[in-house]
Amino acid sequence: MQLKPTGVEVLPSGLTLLAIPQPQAAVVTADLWVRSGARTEPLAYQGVSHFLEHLIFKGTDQLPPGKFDYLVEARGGVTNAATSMDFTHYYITVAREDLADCLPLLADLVCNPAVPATEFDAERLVVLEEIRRSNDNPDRQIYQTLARTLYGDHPYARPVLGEPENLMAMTADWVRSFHRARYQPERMNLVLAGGLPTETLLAIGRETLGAFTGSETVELPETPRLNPVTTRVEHTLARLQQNRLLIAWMGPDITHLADSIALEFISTLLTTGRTSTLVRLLREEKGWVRNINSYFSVQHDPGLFVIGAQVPGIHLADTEQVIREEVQRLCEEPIPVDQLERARRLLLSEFVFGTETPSQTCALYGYYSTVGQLGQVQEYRDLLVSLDEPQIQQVARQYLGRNPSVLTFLAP
Amino acid sequence: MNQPTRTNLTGGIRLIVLPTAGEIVALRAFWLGGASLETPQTQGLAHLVGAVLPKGCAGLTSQDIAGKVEAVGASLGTDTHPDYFLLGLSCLKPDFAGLLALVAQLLREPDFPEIEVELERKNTLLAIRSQQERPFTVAYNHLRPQLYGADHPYSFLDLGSAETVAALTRENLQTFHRESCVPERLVLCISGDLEPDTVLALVEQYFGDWRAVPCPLPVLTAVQGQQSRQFLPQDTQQSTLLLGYPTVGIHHPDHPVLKLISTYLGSGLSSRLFVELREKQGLAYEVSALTPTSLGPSHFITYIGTSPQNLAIAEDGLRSEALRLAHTPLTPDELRVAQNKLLGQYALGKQSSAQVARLWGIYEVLGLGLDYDQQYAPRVKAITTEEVQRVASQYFTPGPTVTIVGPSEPALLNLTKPHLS
Repeated sequence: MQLKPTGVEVLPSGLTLLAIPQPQAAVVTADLWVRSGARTEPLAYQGVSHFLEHLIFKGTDQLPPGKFDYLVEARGGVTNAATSMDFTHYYITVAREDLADCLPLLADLVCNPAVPATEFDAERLVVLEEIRRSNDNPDRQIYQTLARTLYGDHPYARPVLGEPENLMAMTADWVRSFHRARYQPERMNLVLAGGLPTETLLAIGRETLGAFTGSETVELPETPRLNPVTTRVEHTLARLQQNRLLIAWMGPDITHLADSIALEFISTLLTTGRTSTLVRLLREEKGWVRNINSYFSVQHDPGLFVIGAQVPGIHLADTEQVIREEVQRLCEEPIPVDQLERARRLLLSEFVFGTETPSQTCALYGYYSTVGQLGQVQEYRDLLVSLDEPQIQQVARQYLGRNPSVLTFLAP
Repeated sequence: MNQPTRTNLTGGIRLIVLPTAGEIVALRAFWLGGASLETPQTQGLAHLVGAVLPKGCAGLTSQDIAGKVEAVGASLGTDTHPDYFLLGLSCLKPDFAGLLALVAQLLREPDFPEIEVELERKNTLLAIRSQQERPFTVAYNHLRPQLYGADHPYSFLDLGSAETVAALTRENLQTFHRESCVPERLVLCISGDLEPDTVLALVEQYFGDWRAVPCPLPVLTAVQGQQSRQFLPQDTQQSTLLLGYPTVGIHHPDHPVLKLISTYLGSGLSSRLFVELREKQGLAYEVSALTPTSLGPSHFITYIGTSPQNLAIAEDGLRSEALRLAHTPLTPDELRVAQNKLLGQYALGKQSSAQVARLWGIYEVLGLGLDYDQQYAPRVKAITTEEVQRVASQYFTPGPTVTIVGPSEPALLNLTKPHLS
């Protein structure tokens, strides 16, 4: 099965352009991805990637603070950005006839930020509010505790938003030098999707970013090797109204794409839909859990396979036992064909529904081309069709065959 | 997208077919009533109907139904709104005809099995408790009764309360469905790469002989609103502040003006509240405005999450930015930008098949008609600065109803400059 034709061009600077035409769309999304995120931050400057993302919107020598937002939104477009462990990205979605005018603004913003000293303190207050807001969200706290517990010394253990002490120690100069070192063309991908032909998308990208050249290339720090952790912890969390049970295993990194997709199959078999094994057993038949879900996060370094449930206290132990038995069953007994094909159909649909609009398409292609390799989206789609039962069971044994970590969060 | 077609079936069902490209078909079935058919004692009824309706029909069990849907990678779900009830299906084109038959069975012959009623009741009671984990939801649930009074359906809790949900019976669910989900109140909106005639034939086949008698619809009275304030203690790091103003429903000529004002104040990184309170003062990460679309009198909300010590200055900021629009006309440029933003975001809200099916379905079920989409842009472009000022003055001058969720009772408007470290 072939995906929509994709145009690829690597500029002399090393910056990669990716174009995915979606002729029926009236808009175009331009999404500039940078292979730099919280994973490769120096320990003392935790949170700098995310803070830089905020400060980038404070403009350049050509664009005073707020001007970029105004110019894009005044045309009816939208813009935003996001920072994660492995990447940072900045995007606009505009009417297709506005792309040629708006993309140079985005490129200037991301490539040449002024980080004005006058804006620095007020924006730091905004990030401190963002941290407080995150601390008020029990699910965020639960996720951070999970990451801290499973990742130990690895940067994935830390919050992307950083810690207030680190933020208070940062200066505008230091943030500027961080930008110079990290935002190099060979670490950047511009993904364009929407209602223009491939050649037009590529031409606008080339015209806009052809002149952007990097300065010195700084090697990014290596992250420590991860060893699977098996632990059992219990926390009581203020303001929590429902206990949460999390069962987690360390999975593969993004270079093992087939293993990652196999884990997506397993997650779908276990918790997607009312007929999935664990939803049927634990929510529908026994009524022990209010909800149960699972996911595998595909990341640059090994990701986590997590099963999470909201469970009243009296059912915690039994719920854990059923989950572990069913995971064990996947490792040992044949997977029924109808269940496997159901999972395949759900994953294929998810892929179709998840690439319907230009912004969704940019998110998918941007993620895999930035964190993984160009071409992985096609490979991903092919694997959804081709993975078979023995391969999936082999992956279940390899990653889920050992004892998991179990985290329980109790309402006070 | 080509033009939508609308057909009225003999029983009263309105069928809208929206030709879109691609492999996806989205169906959204709407019927009028929704949570506004509840009473104060049956709050949460519509939600529970939605939770149980897909779990048994025409002798099929919950697992049978989910099995048919999931085997072809489709999704099926329900949603409740104060004005309407919604059942949605998204699937790939080859699977649509088969699933439409299932949708017809669900809408016409739901069984509401006792065992599923009890299971979903139990889960709803847990969900009600979980809402306490979200300060915005807590604040919003307390704001609406102050705005509307406790008897107005728009003040009701989406999920109901522990007491009302415990008291709901299977018979309540059956009656609610029988009297509101009837052909003359039903809109079927279907988007996809489909021939309208083929769709019509299928709909005739599955729905054509359906006849039923509806219950009366509620009268949604206008709202006075109280300039009251309430504080709900929660041990959070931020305080969540909501200011609410009573407004009007979607049929009122001021509705697009209020949407424009909401866009001007709260939409995007260049919006007035974002720039003034976040970018200039660093008071918040999240600050915005919203105004729900509803048949009866709606409301306008501005809100912010901020440190408790900045609450007074934040409240002053939110209040004065709304009032400023009553005193100071927008510049022509501000008006033009707000118009472009509103229409740009409107266009972005019509990208996927599901979005399109939902939007046209809402227009039809709320009685705006298929032309509303085409009339919307000219109406927004015709808004003048005088109109903005008049509307702001009318709805914002009486002052807001205030709800605060946070760690400590704040001092009333004790204005101090925020501390810039």
